[in-house]
Amino acid sequence: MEICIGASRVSVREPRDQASEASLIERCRRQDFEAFGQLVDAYQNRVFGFVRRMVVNAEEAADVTQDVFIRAFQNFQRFDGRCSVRTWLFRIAYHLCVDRARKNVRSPQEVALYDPSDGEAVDVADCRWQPEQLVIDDELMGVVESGIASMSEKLRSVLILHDREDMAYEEISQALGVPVGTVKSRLFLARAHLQDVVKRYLEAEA
Amino acid sequence: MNGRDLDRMNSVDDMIESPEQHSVRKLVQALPEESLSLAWRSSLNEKLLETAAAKKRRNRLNWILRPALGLGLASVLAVIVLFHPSQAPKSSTPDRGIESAIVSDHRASVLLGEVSSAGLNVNEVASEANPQEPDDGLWTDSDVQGL
Repeated sequence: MEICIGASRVSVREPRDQASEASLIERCRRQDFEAFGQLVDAYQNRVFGFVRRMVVNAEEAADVTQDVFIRAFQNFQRFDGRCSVRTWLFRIAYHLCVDRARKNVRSPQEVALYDPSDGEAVDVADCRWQPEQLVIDDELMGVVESGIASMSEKLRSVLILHDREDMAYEEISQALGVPVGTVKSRLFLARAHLQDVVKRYLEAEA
Repeated sequence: MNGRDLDRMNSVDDMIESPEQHSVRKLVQALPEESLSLAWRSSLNEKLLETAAAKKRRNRLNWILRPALGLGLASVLAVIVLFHPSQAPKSSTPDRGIESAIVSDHRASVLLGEVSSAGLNVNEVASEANPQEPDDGLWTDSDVQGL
């Protein structure tokens, strides 16, 4: 299912049937190439969406996404099923992004994220439900993207996994290897930072 | 988790559930999904095939090498066990405390017996070798006979 927002299209993803995913996983464990291809088809855009926002360069992001699936294919026999395939793939993706960032000696800078005195809501409507009230245009999307890019990787990863990928706190905790409380506090800080960025943009526009 | 942590978690939960935070969430959800090209997919397929082929080669090599290695190891052990001359024990008596002292005393006494000629017994040889003065200074029977 796809919804149009401004010039861009957003797909709404249906959760995979658990039984079919279980059989797919079993086949992938046996190194079934076709089954793994189905898994790639199911998750490639989601993984790329995450990696693309974690890695600066689009080409590099595509390379990292390939690495994610190659690693997954090589190590599928080690997948113990304690977490979902999605969580596992995002864990691999996160670690590869962090490794790539270290290699590039790109030191992410922590920014001042939240001013407690600044608690005003950002007046951005949800266009999926009230499309007539506000059009989220490409420019605003660009501001949001740059706001996400300006965060540290720790905050960015939590924000994308929770708000973009609809992952539960526990899943994010498993994927990133941090406690649930840390996930929540990072999510709060990330949103507060983005709120600040968008607010400044809207004020400048006004 | 203590009470303070629980309070803090609850307050973080409350803050995350605030309308301001929800509005940001909706904004992030509205971000366009980026898709990968077919060229990317076919490139991945090639790499996966290469990976699978390399893994198969490695498995085949392991399938040959492992038994070969096992056989080699077993044959080396067999050669060592069958053809290596077993070493005779260096000494029938273990080199341990009192036993070795007894054995060495026995050997010394045998040696003394061989050295001493007829007419001399072991004790005489020993006394000749280490003449000892009577330490108490009293007359002995031989002294009396000498007078």
